[in-house]
Amino acid sequence: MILRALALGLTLATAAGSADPPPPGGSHRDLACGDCHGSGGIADCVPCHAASANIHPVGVVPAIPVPGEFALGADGTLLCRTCHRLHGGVPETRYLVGEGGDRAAFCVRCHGDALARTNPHLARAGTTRCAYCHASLPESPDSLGAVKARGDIVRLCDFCHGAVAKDHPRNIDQALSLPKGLPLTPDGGWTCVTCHDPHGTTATTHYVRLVFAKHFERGRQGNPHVDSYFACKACHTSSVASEIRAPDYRLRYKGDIGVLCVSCHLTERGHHPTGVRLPPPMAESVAAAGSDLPLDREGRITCYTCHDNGCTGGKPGMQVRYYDRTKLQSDLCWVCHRRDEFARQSPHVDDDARCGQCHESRPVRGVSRGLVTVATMVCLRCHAVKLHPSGADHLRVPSPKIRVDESLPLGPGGAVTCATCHDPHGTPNPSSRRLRAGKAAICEQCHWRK
Amino acid sequence: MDTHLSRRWAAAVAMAATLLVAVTAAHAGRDAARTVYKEGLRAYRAGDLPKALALFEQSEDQDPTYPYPTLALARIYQALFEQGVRHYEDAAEAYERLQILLRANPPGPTEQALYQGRLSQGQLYLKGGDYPRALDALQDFLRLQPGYLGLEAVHNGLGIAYYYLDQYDRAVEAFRAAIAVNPDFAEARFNLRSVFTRLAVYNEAVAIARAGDLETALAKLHRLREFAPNYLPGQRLEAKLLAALNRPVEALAVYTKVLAAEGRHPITYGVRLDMVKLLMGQGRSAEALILLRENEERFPNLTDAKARGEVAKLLEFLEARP
Repeated sequence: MILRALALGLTLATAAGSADPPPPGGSHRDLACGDCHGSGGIADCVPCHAASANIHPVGVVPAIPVPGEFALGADGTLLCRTCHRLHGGVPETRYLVGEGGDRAAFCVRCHGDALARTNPHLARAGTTRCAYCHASLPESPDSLGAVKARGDIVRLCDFCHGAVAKDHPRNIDQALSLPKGLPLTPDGGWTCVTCHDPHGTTATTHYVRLVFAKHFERGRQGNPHVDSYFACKACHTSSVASEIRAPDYRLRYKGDIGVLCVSCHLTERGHHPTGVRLPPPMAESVAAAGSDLPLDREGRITCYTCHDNGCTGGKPGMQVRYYDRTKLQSDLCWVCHRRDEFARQSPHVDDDARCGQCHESRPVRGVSRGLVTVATMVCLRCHAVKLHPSGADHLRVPSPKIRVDESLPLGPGGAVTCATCHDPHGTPNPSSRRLRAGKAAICEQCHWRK
Repeated sequence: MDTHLSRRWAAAVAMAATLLVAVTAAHAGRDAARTVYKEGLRAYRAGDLPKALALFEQSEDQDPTYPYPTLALARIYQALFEQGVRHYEDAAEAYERLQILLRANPPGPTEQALYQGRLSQGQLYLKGGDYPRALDALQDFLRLQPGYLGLEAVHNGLGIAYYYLDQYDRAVEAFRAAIAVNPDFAEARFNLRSVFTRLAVYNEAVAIARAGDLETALAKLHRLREFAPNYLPGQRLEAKLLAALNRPVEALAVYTKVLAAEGRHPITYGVRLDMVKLLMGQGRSAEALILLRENEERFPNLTDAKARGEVAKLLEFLEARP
């Protein structure tokens, strides 16, 4: 190393004294100039970088026009330095010339939109695209096992997908054991093709192998939010309370709470934004309130910001923070949002500008539009009410004995919501409480006997 | 008169004889084809694939209206394709021939299994990456066999086709339908989660845009575009943000792409209205008028009286201009 540094110093000193200044990007990693620039010209890259590691052709004249920013050999052939900087550049972008950046976006600069049409995984294209990844083709179905990849599989996949840089797989719990029957490396390691079938699948997205998808989905229906020793391991990699500590709480999925929750809850995360930082006015409001609403390490909202699993309080069970279910009283929203702004203007008027108070955007019949959050919460933001009528908890799935009239809308899973009895778009007469029927009649829509 | 009658009799007898010969020949052809088909099955069971293929082809030639050898050929080519990426076209062509046969002579109540060829065809297209044709085949199968016992797999296949066509909303519906049929159908749950992971990027962009950080929201949508270039709600939001950032030309380009991709999708009703506002801002009222009329034609049943009133007012205003 010392010798190398000396050599580099000497070479740079020599270069500084010569007519050609040293390259602005600096040397090629820790190599001396003379390591590549010999008397016989510039040395080939192959002595250091194995030719088999390269997926892209070199030494051939490209069949498509190459933009001027990409250097070609004197005879118009592709070189390593057509795409890669020899001086400078950053390893994160694989020393790509120009601004580098995303691999696919880089390749498009020569290959254009046609790149998408050359997808080597398009099985219907037959054997014409096998050479992207394989060194040879199978002669017959019996010789499939003899087919070799062109290089290291992870490197091969990463050439287009750049998965390593994206910290893939983010949404797969690496604490899980792998099912039997998946292809592993000879020493038992796993690669991209352990979980993905590059030749396509018919039952799963992302070309994920069916056996893996099924294994991944095991035991998803059980509720882990209960007071049970075994339940801990649904979210944590340990069941020992003393080990479940800050900062990572030994959470599965690399501590990504959003992914952890969605791993069981099949939700679009549409009922409140998550994964985003609080806008400055909200952040100030939260700080002023001295709130303990937890954000993630990067200050973003997660499911856990509003939902508490009760573990830290010693009473496991999911609940909404600052929400008293028995009184229908919620102070949660007002930690970030301003109640006076919500309550200032009634949305129950014929004014398009106010649709956004409850809906994601102005609803148009024939085109579905969601609410900004779950139905009950939409109402509780402005209406301070108690459980009613008669102090009974109606906001749940009715028992099988109750036959709800078909004219009354129910929420997800058939649960009664405020809008089941009250029509938010109904009569503007507030004395009627916007009930869908008269005070006595509305009860009879569900509570009736033959 | 007698001579005339006897001539007509003679003609009728000759015609009946010709028909009899034709029917007999057809029966003989079907019998021969059936015999060869059975031989083909025996060869297939014995593992002699080349012989089986040759016999099924011979059977198909002997009676082109006999559907079973065509189905057998399609299935064998499909299996070969799944094993070694070859024979996709052979399988696809055999399935197409089978569909023509079944349309011409719909199978009887005891031959409903022939319709499963449509399901296999859908799976062939899924594996081959031809998603629009996979949708056609699977939707057709659902129509033909609504009582099929493995409906969850059919809905799941539809969801996958929608997923790869970036139609996430429809993919969600299809995967949910699969889970509704069979709550333990792990594949659909896994796939649904895949869609939600992608939709999360869109949801985050919406939230960031609402918070007023339009540039960051736009960057998020560019990220979404890398892996879901045809997701229409993402494109529409991108165009809206570009318009809000005072980049109307870029916004119009994105909107135009949405219309070109799927001009009949309900989302395009709003897209056209957005475009009209932008075009009017640029003084391009003639183009705005065309878009409004297109909306009228394509969505005659949209019953939102207020929206229609607005459109009518705009149309009136634009039509009154010279």
